[in-house]
Amino acid sequence: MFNAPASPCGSGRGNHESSEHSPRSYFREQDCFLPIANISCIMKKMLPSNRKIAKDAKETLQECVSEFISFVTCEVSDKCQGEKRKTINDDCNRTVTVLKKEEGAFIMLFFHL
Amino acid sequence: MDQNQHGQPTQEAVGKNQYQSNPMMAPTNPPSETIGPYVTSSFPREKQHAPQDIYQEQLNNFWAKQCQEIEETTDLRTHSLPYARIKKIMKADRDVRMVSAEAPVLFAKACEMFIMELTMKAWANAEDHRRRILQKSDIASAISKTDVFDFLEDIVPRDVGIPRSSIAQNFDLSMPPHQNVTYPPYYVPAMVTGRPIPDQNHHGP
Repeated sequence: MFNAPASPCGSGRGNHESSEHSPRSYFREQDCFLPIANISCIMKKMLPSNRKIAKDAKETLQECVSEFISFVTCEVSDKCQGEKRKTINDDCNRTVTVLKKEEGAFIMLFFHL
Repeated sequence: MDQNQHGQPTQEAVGKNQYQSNPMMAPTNPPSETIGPYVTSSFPREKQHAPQDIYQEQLNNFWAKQCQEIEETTDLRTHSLPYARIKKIMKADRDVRMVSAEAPVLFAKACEMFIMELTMKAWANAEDHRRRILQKSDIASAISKTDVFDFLEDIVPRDVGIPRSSIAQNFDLSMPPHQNVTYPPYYVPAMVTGRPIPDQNHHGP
């Protein structure tokens, strides 16, 4: 792979989406990760008080969240294309269950297309 | 009794059916046998069973609370994750052309719940190992234990023995490996999961 990382000073404005040919573009752009401070804050909600989180754990979860967004987006996009939806004209609320219910873990997204 | 005395073939067949019906009744007896080994085998598992029950109950309470919180949410402006960033991640997929305005809002909530659940599972793993600091290996274990998180297997390698390293380290300016060289050529190989760099070893036990 011959991809130089984007300059943090440039705030990613110089990168056009059309120029992204890398299948794993989130390795190159900081914008493809959610802010680690927000993630850390949410993680601490679930831990007992004064418990510490290793930095690599935060970074790992940062990558997991980006992968989660891409995964769900891909699933929903495939579903929309499968149904040949007209994204402009079709205006209805529908529930998309993208993850199987297992061990009480499920996520339902209400898409307004 | 009269049928038995006749001894005709058809009646014998009926008798066989009656005899076959007895084994169907037999399965009701073995439950007492299954209880036996279960009781004996549950001795070592009894200790592990209780925390799992507590953990499962906590998880169910968490989800019930979250669903209730979602229903009560009316103000969409209060959020914990930036919508613009989420939308940009969604648009990274070239097949995705248009994203509605409400989608990132829902994704923000979904991501928040995702982070909280994964952290909860990871923390359960850390407690099992009697550790006080949440490590990357805890998240890796939580992912490997949950089938729903199969799509994350590429992110976190299953081999916990791999030395800790950050794939996104090039975004942290405080630890460039070539500090003496100005503008060094720094490329991140996409498929390499991790490289050991001493600067990353900040984690004290």
